[in-house]
Amino acid sequence: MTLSGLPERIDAYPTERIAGYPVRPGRPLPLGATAVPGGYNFAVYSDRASAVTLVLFDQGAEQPRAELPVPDCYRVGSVFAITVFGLDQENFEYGFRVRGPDAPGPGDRFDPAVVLADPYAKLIAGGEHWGEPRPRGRLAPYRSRPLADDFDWDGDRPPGIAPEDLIVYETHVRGFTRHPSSGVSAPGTYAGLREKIPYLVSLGVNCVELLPVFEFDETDMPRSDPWGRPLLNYWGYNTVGFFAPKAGYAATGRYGMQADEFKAMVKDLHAHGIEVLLDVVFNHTAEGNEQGPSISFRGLDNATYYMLTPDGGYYNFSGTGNTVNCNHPVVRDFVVDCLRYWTAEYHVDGFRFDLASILGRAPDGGVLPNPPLLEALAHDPVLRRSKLIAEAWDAAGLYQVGSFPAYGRWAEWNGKYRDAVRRFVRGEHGVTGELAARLVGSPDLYAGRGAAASVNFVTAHDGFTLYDLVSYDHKHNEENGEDNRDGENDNHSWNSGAEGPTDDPEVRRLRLRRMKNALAILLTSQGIPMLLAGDELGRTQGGNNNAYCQDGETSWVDWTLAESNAGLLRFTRNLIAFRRAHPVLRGAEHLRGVDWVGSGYPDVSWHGVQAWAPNWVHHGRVLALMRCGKHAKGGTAADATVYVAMNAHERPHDLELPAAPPGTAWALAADTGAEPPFDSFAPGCEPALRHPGRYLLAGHSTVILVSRPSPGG
Amino acid sequence: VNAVAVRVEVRGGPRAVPGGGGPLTVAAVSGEITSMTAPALRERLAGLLPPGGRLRLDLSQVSYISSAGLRVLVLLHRQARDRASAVELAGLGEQLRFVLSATGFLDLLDIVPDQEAEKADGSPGSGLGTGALDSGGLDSPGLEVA
Repeated sequence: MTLSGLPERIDAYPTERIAGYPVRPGRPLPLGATAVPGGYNFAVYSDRASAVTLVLFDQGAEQPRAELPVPDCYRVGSVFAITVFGLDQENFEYGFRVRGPDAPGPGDRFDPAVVLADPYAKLIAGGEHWGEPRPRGRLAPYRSRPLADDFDWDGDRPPGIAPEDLIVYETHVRGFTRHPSSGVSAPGTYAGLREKIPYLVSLGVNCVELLPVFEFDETDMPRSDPWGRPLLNYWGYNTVGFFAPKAGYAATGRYGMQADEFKAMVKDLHAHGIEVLLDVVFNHTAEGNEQGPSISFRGLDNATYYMLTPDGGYYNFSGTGNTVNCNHPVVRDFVVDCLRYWTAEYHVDGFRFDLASILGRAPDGGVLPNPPLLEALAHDPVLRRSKLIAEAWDAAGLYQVGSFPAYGRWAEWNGKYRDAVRRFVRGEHGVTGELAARLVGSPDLYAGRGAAASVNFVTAHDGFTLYDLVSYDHKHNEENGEDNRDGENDNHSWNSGAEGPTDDPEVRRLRLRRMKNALAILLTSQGIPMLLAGDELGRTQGGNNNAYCQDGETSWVDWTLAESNAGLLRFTRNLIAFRRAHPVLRGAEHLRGVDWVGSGYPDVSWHGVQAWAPNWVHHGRVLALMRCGKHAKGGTAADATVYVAMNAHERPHDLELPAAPPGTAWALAADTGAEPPFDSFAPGCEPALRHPGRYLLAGHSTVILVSRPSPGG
Repeated sequence: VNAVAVRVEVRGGPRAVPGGGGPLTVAAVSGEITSMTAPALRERLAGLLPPGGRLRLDLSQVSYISSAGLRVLVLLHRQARDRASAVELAGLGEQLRFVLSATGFLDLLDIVPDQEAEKADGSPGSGLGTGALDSGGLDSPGLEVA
């Protein structure tokens, strides 16, 4: 606009009036609602629709302010586009009514009685207050809104951390600070998470992975718990709006400022050297199966957006009722547009794809050898430096850990790492061989892809917490309201001698030690370690291994644990600091088991109770490995040599240690069998061993040694 | 009530102001700042930015600010920086301060502590006039700052 208020573009004038509004034919791209001089451009795709009506509401109004049928001559290809003038950005919401063809096909589910959300809506109104049921009786309970997308990013720069140097911390925006003990001014919000940045910095992680933050409806859950209390869709894998940040996670959502609050959080995390990954869900939507509501895709173009059986029913590879048709060219573009938007507009650093194997399925559900979507994401110019992490399986039996189509880009949640470490830490026989491969980045799974293809984890949001993994033999999901039928049965867990809470000091001591073992193994493995938020505090879910519907004490991080489990927190901090101090643990390439820099030591060597003599027999439960510092980062970084020995046997073992490299001696970085504060030492403060040639390793313990220049040596 | 009014007072040289930093213009804003009133307010205030000096916005009489209103504050701050001048805010209510903090805007803006603002306002200024700005209708929910 000029100072006199006249638009400067010659096309910024209406050509006619519809329903009282000055309008002109719109531009088909970009899709969605876009501010243009004097008004807004609306563009929506539907291949099968015969007519589209733009419905405008005053903010929060029950009934529409106006309905503008888009003239057929405004259609470009399959995009209905109209520019409407005189709209105040802050005071309108919109949606679309879509009429289908006169002769419906088996896949059509058009219903002009419904006002649909724009799949490209930058904001969704109606969910500003977490847990308040949406006005479902109202026309369009999920209202699309435009966004003022200017934000002062100042000098924000992505930290650009090499994948192999990441230490990921998986958390839930609400659960992280909602507990009354969090001490933040806006509990359960983006702003609250931002207030906890000093904690994240002191913990030492350099990446947060957020459970879904795209707008979803936590109140769309029909079930109650056994006591009749309504359950919520707390995790949020039921996306309603892919371009809209969840308003109910924003302290300022009621002012429509969730985008600003989200960006402020990202900017501040970046300023502290912490990257942001989003857990994204493109495999299904909140629209469910044939019985589900029409929110957006279903009424716009069901046959484009969903995988359909020949008779028009929904394929269900996601286990949630529908499956997004990801390799349809239109849907592929939608996914790419969405991820570009979050990368460019919100500055996020990468994505973890829920049930990513579905992204490799064809419209008929077949498994594609070269899925166009995965290839497009790997080579996309905007996403070229984004981290791409696959949950490499789906709910219909496709399991691609180690075989996900990677295009040199994709990493995977390594489910086999999780299972191997769990089985070892509970003392199973026959695991040491597989464990060895898992510790060094799973070269058996990721040959040619490097160690950073493996996201290593022992626990994640989906399953037991670390404390519960060592405290429960069985899941205890009664509070989910399905008689404990839901959730994984095979958890490779062991309760350490008593099921659940116990006063037995021996059991409690063993649990603590086994948690430390898992952390010590995780944080000294090659690959990308991922911690579940709260595990460093010994957070429990009372044995619930499927807390997707639990918005309460079960799921929220209880910050009082930072005091009651201060020893575990200190141990975790020291171990993270150890990993950050030692590039030898963080190589991008797989280790080879040979000396290729002339140091006199192989890059990795294997040991047992006897040095240089690993015992691979079936009942062997002791494994040790030594990584030569001169091989760190492909021989480019100078580092100490690190020796890690793990004993999953209940008996102690008197280990013979390999000699530390010439001129150095072993110092003790951590011993999970020792009582605090002797269980771990900050980098640089490791005490020398009293008996350099041997180490008595307690039962169910892990020791970490690091080479230090010997006095006068 | 759907109007935003700006009362402007220009105070004397640097010595008249605690902390110094160039001549200070104080603009007391009252009423509601929304997407409807923001463009006119922005133009009015931009004209007051003293080259090399400071513009203080006293928001204590603002009853309502929407997200577009908050953007005006940040925008002015940016424009001021371009002109080697500065914009500072005074009279922020608790709620407004919270929203500015949660969205990160607070970090971008200069806020005058309440006590200092009172001191500076203590001396009688030369009223240069009060101008009311037109605005359209207003029904969007927003931030009650009063």
